[in-house]
Amino acid sequence: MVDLAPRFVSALDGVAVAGGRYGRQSVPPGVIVSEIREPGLALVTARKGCHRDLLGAVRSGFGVELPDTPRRVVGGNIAFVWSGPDRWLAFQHRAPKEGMEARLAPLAGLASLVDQSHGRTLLALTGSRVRDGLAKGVPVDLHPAHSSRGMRPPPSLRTYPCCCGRPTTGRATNLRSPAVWRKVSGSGSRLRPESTA
Amino acid sequence: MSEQASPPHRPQSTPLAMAASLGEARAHTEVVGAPARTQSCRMPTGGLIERARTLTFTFDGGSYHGHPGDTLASALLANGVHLVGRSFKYHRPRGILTAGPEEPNALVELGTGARREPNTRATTAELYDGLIAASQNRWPSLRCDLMAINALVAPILSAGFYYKTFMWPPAFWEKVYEPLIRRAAGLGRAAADADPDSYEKAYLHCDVLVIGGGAAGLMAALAAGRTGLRVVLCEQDFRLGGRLIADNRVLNDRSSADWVAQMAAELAALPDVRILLRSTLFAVYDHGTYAALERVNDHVAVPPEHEPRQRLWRICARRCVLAAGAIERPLVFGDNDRPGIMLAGAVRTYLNRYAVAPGRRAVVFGTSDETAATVADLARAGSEIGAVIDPRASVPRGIEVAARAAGARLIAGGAIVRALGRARVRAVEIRTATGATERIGCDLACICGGWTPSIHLASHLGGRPVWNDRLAAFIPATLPGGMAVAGAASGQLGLADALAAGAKAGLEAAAQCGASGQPVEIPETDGEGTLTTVLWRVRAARGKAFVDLQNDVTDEDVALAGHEGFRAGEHLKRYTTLGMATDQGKTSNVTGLALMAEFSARPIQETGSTTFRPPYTPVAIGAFAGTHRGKEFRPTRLPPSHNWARVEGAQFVEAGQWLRAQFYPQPGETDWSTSVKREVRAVRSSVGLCDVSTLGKIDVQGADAAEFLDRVYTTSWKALPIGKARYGLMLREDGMVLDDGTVARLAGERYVVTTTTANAAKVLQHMEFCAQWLWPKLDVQLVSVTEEWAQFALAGPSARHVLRKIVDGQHDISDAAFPYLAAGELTVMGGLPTRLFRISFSGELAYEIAVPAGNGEGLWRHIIESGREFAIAPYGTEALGVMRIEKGHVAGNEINGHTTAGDLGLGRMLSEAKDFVGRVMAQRPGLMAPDRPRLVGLKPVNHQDSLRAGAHFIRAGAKPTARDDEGYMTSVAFSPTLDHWVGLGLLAHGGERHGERVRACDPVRGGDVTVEVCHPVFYDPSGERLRG
Repeated sequence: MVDLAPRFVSALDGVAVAGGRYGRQSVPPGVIVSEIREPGLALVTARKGCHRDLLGAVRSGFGVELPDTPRRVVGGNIAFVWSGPDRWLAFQHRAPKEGMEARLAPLAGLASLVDQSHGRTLLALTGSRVRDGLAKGVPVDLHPAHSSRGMRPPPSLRTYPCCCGRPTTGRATNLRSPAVWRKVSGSGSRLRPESTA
Repeated sequence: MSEQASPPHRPQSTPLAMAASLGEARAHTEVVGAPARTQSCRMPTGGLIERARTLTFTFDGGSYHGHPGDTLASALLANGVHLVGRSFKYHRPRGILTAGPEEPNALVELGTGARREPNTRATTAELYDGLIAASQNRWPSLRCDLMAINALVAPILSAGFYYKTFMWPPAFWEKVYEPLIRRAAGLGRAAADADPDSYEKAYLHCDVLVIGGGAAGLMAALAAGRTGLRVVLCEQDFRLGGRLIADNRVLNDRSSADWVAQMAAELAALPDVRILLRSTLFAVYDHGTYAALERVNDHVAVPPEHEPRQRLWRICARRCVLAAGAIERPLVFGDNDRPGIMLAGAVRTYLNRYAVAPGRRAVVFGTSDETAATVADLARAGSEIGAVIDPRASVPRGIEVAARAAGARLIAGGAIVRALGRARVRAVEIRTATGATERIGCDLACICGGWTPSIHLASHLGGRPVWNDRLAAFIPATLPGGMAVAGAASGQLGLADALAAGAKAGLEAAAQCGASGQPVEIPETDGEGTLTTVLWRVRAARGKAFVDLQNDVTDEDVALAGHEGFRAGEHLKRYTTLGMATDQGKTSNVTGLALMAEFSARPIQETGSTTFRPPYTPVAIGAFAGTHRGKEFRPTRLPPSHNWARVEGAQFVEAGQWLRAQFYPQPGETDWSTSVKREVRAVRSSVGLCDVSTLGKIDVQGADAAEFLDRVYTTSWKALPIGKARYGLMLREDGMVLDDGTVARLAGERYVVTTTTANAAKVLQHMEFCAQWLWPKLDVQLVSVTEEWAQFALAGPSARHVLRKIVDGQHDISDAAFPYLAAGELTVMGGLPTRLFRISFSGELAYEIAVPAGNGEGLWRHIIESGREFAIAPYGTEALGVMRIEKGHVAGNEINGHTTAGDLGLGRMLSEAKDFVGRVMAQRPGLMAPDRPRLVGLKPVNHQDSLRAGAHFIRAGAKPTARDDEGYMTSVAFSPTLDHWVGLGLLAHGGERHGERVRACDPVRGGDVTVEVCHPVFYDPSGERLRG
């Protein structure tokens, strides 16, 4: 019988390389890639004239100050990443059952909320050579002195719009990596992590 | 790699085991399979080569030995090979002139098969075991090149000859002259096979970028690196050191090579200093951005599997120190291109760095104090020095002392007027200060006409260099922001000056980045003379006196250009091709300009200089492409049903970046049209399913969302109720149609807009421009949600039945509750959030169902399963296209940027009650003219005839010429519904010509069909079916 229950199918299913080890085998892996499946993502764009009220609503509803520079702030299990003037990407590891727009309901009317949980793919990159691997596609400066924890550099991974940031906790070498277009067949994975191993 | 014993040791008393006579040089014939030649010109000691390992390589089929640390050029010279190529135009024998990337002569084909690379400079190609190289531009062989016959017609082949010759008869140009000239021209052959190697591009950020790893560069990198800043040192060679490893200098009582090693070790130990060897910084761009090419694996036969062959670095630096050194200038005299004539600095490089003595009996002819060092190094290597010639009447004492010590005759006030020899120089004819001439036998002539600071990179952003009379060179005037120049690149030719300047520049660059550090101690150096006199050419020289060796440009060519009025630097370049070869005139530009100044009796500054543009040296196209090759040239976007479609055997088509299912062949269907007809019939008779996720989807929210939509669309949206959708037309500012789509209102201040697949990005860009630039005060927010939602079209008389099995029971989707153009948010499959739109592109009862994309595949499968009892058929873009043509719906073929709303029969959609983008310009008389082509339907009079898109309409009885062209066919399809071909087209006065017959002419493909003009809606013109 065909399983017709609704299930999440990642954009990378069937198109990205299968799990395993690639590239040079004689050294420890320099870049480790894993997908964060079913994240909760939503774009929050302040309505005209509501910027201050929106800051207050986020402060009271989520306990954080919305950044106005390329940074990420975390309040509880939700993070807000600056994404442009008056725009932020709200993110949590697991999409809430009610959906991100409902999760962000305290902000309704002060901001336009648009769920993006299925429109992007989220990869976590770790490893000793992760910065070298990212340097093959991300044009921003990822050096620790310039890429402080929580920062969100401007987007681009080669030609794919993306968003990149370092978690505010955890090992310094952990880097959250780019979110790439949904349904990019294979080419998005050709960062040749093996050549930085 | 093979490991063979080093060549037998030669006793110190006879450091060179050379041929007994110069004639033996001609004995190096090309014998395939012969044993590798011994390195007869290799000095027994010295050099920065790994003597313990011997490498074997071939050149023109002959086998030779060399060592790691050699270049191909040094290894060839070590084996006594001087003849390495033929010149571009005259096919004159040519040898190695330099030891670096400025080499004009020694261009070889490196590698074979798919990895064959032409025009590789032997002077920079690192030697590796198994290297295969071949000379270029000769036939049938290097030693006997029949194309040397060009020399007989040299008077015809002077500069600009192609502007004056090969003119008559005119018909011969295309059939005879041009093919012959093309075959004769060019250097080297590109590989015919696909490049098997991979290339990468990467970004690199630093505080201070130092370009050049010589004396000044090392000091600059050290000074900046010690402050803790991030420093990148970019060096094109495979070793650091520059002239320090080419000359025998002493720094702090150590050899210069040892000092370089010490510096390199300290730099490597600094945590934030990155040294890029084998990396040529080839471009300077705006705002502190630079490009460098790293030859990661050019020095191996086959790159390791996981590594690229080359890597292109995009470097962002806050400050830059250009320490690229200087390029030695040759001298212009008669037949100065003979093999064995080499730059003096290059000779010292081969002697000191590679332990190769390029000649047994040398003549040194130079205009600078460095002649002393050349004489000393030659003497130390055991070369006999026939004469030291200095054009200055009063020769510096250092040169006198060196000549005396070497037992060489010193000729002050003299000059070489001509070199003698053909495949190798065998003598030079000199003119003494008294005017007397004599011949001096030699097999090596070391020449030096001074040094030209390597300032190309400083001029990439348009800054013109200025002439400096003292240096007799161009130096940078305005520099790119953030760049400083140090060392020989700024005219500081002395070692002590270069070291100090580099240290200062590095520290200053660091300070500008906010870091302070201690001054770097400048090492003590042995002194040297740096004075240079100018001798642009030897007058009254006999034979051809070359200025640009690679393009065979002589001093007479420069004079001719001046005579014919091409006196400015840029004109000189283009008329003579001086500086236009792969070396970009590195050894010839300044001399050419100086000669033009002399011929035109002007200062050099007035002749101007040519413009230096990237790349500084040739860069492979593969490096620029990086990984953007083949299918990875741009990303491929896959709709949510792709995996299912692939398993089902669908045929796909590229629609922009998307890969869409074109049709789904079933077993037994061997022809695409059979499949498409079946799919159309399935939709028209029962139900079909199509993935339309590729359509653009834009979320529009805000208090002014409706006002905004009113302004960008031609119709009004303020009155659109929540839960309704409507077709919308968008114009460009010039009044032409930009796109069409639908707008659905989901909430009070929330709309979702659809666009065509092809225009999704363009429409969003247009809307963003309008929102941000035209009406920034409007409260409207735009977000692309194309990837967020999977969207499927379920179409056909049974569509509602299938939908009922999908949509959760609490939602009423009856015709009354959910009529045509309804839109709403529901749930399916037990609670999955869904957006449902009742819109139809096919003309049938239809719905578009959208779910979050991650659930798309699941929904697709569910619909297929649910539809089986209704014989549901997946259908692709072909069937979609057939049905929309049957319904007369316009698409990209009609919305082609040249059509107005009126042309497309949509004039009624232009609101007269409000303003919108494009309204004014759409009223231009030309866009309102009654004879404009209008959308019509077309069907063949003979139903057996097929129609062709692109065919042009010619009135019956008229000739198929442009003058009688009345329009063209935009879209065609075979209609299974009507059982004949139908088409849409744009026909002048189309609306008034229904029933008329015209010819649809396709001269390109030989078609000429009589068609009847009709209404564009062929199927269900009243729209009853879609409202069912």
